[in-house]
Amino acid sequence: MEEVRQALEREQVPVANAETAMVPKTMLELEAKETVSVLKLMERLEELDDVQRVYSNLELSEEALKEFA
Amino acid sequence: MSGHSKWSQIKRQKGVTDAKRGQLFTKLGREISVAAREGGAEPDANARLRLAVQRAREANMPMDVIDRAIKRGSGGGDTAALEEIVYEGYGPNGAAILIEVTTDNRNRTVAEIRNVFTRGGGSLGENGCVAWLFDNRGIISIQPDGTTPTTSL
Repeated sequence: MEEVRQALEREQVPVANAETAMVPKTMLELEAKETVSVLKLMERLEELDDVQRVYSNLELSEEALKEFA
Repeated sequence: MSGHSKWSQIKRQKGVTDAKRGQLFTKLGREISVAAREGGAEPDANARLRLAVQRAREANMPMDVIDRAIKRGSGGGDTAALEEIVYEGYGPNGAAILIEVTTDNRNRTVAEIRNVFTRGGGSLGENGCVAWLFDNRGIISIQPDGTTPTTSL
């Protein structure tokens, strides 16, 4: 990871962001309404002081995002 | 893959209100302290610390607050009690949820998390119940500047 980042910088490729994250192997697609209820739960988890990051295997559809925002 | 970045985008769009700003700084500061404790106070030699500092700067965290967080981590002291834990659970309709936590009191934290899960229609699971669904990966985003052709790694 760090090697790739340095190699890119040597080639003067502008790196916008480099981070590690938990990436789901398979995504779960739910109805828009169900997706929103999961997003709300994740948002409340993130509001806890001790929580650093929250990940899920949720596939976010445009429809669900509109409803959530 | 797309789910992760889209979620970050919504968060950015929703914006950070002043009330939440202090809380955000607390979180970013803790990550900086732990990173400094684990890998040393020098960002050039500590990828995790560099990333944490970068994220803090993006959130407009003042430099002196960042420096203090680094000193706190590298100088021992009260960060010795900070533990990193991953909790796993299910959201409504069986969505897998993974939570990375930095806490000085895991009993309090687990109670808070369980409470949120219960009220939100999910459940806190055993260790390992959903972790197998995830890979820990590095994600490098590239800023297209319009002059170089897109390359894939």
